[in-house]
Amino acid sequence: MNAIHLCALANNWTVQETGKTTARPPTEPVALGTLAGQKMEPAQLSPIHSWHVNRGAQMMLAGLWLRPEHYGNPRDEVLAVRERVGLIDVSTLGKLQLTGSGVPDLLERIYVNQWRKLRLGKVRYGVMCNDEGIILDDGVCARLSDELWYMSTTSSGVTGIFEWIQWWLQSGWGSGIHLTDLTEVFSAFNITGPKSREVLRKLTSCNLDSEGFPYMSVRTAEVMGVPCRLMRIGFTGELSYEIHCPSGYAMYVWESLMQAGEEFDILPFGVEAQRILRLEKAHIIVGQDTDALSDPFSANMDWIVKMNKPDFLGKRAFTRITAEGTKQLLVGFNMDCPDIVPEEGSQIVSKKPGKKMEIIGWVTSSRFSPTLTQAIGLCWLPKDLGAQNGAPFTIYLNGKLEKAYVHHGPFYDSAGARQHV
Amino acid sequence: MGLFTIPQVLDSMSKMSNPPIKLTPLHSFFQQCNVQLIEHQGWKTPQVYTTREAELEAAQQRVAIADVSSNGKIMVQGDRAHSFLAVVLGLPVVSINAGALVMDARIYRLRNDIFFISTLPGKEEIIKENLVTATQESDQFITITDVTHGRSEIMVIGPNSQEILSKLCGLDFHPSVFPNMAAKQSSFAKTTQLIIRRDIVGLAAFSIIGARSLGEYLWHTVIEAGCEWDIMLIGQSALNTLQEQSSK
Repeated sequence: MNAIHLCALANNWTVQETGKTTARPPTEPVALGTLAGQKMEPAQLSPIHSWHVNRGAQMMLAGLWLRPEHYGNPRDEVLAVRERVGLIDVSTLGKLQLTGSGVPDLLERIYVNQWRKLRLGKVRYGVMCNDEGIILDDGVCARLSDELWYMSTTSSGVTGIFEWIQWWLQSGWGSGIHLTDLTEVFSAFNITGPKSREVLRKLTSCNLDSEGFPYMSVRTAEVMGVPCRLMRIGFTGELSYEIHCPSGYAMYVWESLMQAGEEFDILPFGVEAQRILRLEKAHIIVGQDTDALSDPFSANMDWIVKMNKPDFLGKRAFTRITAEGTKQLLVGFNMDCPDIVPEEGSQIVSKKPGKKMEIIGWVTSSRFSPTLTQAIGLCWLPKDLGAQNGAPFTIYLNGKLEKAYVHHGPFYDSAGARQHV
Repeated sequence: MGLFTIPQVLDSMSKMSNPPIKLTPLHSFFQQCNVQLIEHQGWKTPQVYTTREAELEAAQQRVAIADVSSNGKIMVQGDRAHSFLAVVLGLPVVSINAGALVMDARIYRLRNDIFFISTLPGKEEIIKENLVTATQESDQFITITDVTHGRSEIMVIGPNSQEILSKLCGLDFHPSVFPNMAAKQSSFAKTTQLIIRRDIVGLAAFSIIGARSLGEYLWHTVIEAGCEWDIMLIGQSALNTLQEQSSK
């Protein structure tokens, strides 16, 4: 009624002239419990969640997980990793255990690359696609014994991948295979940077030398007396070790690592720094840089698809895709003006004389790189344009046209020397 | 030679010379409560929140909630898992969603080929070792996985426990439908949980077992649902008393 009076006053009408709104019941009945009951919003917490909060981390939602976005200054966190050492909580990663003699055959079918010959103690990166050749997920898989494999998935992908594999196991590919979700049994931390080996060496008797523990290997070892799985892998392009420990010991292991890293000025780092670090290496994030139409060929990952394998998920689609050719390509770019960071999702346009501006692509990831002191990113472009390293194109940004250039390969340490030391 | 598959990392856990104390998913909550924590079978758990007598009274007269995440949890998987467990542990015939008490362990059948073993804290090591030895000697394809570290376990005890669970889950918790030793996987407060009925000295008691990361959320959700029955937190001391009474 007050609103009607106010409207009448504003229009210089009477209340009668203004009239009243028609009262209608809700279109759907609403249970009283919905209105009065508690708001249940599940949130998944890492075993060291309280440590992050106590250290002033800015927390962010990633799926249902609460993760540290940063601890105050992502730029410093990036530089700590590049120059010294950093530590990130990656407990949210999916972790699946596959056991049985049939596992190599299953992996050959569900990944697009080869697995049967993976030796004990080795780790391999893999990409999973569906029947249409669309990228579903990526991660690594480690061979711990003849018949014991340990697979990692993206944090948001684990439930879907678990169901995906279960579906195939129950559809005739399950002979001699058991699948178990260990995501929460193990917590995982990535210690990364040139000093990471020196820090970890203080806590374990495991041989961490490059010869004894080469890149893309896995070892079982105690860290401060806690039995862990160590994988020499990483997303940052630096010397890195992923430490998987039973979750009940997670706080103890994390604090031990932080304490051991003090003399090297270790910094914890969050999701934001990790995104910058991976972008400097031009690593994709499935779901951010890819979508429901992205296949490995258009995502510039044709190197991973092994078409000489017997049948695998996506192979038929890839036969068609390779015959017809892809229309778009996921590539890196840098900006003509190095300080301008285009927003993720920005449109890439083409303007030909006498024609309307046409959208030809879009930006999927972009950040200012503190290491390279320039804006970098990933984007989808028409294949002919994306295939030319250094080719210029235009990004539509806040009503202006900004020039950018195609960049092939990693922006930082393109030979990968830093992670192989 | 049969296949035995268990994560090496867990296998070697028993060989730790001086293991640190393990923390349950609710540890940070306990710290906020400023409750006295004790070591119980290698885990840090709350001793008493208020007084042991008050906590016992709540469990016996109304309803109480306890963190029992330190209970051992083992998954046994395999087409012949039932016959394997029958031979090794003497498991009687159990149907899906039902369980049996065998020695110190409760064994529940979740699927034709998947069993869940619940043990008292620390006992999982011995049972696991027995199963390991047996699988190595058999020709059956059985996978045994210790998932203790990955699951939270919250126990709701007392005459009003059924009502609380009914507020958060669509299952019928009446004893005629959900008797003692029943185990069902269901949606519970928007999450996936395994709910087990494990009565103690005639008191209705339910264990809610799920992802460790959701433990704190679930704990607060159950407490809020139990407000109208004045739900009380109970510590290890009261739990020990109840269990002692149960074993007499």
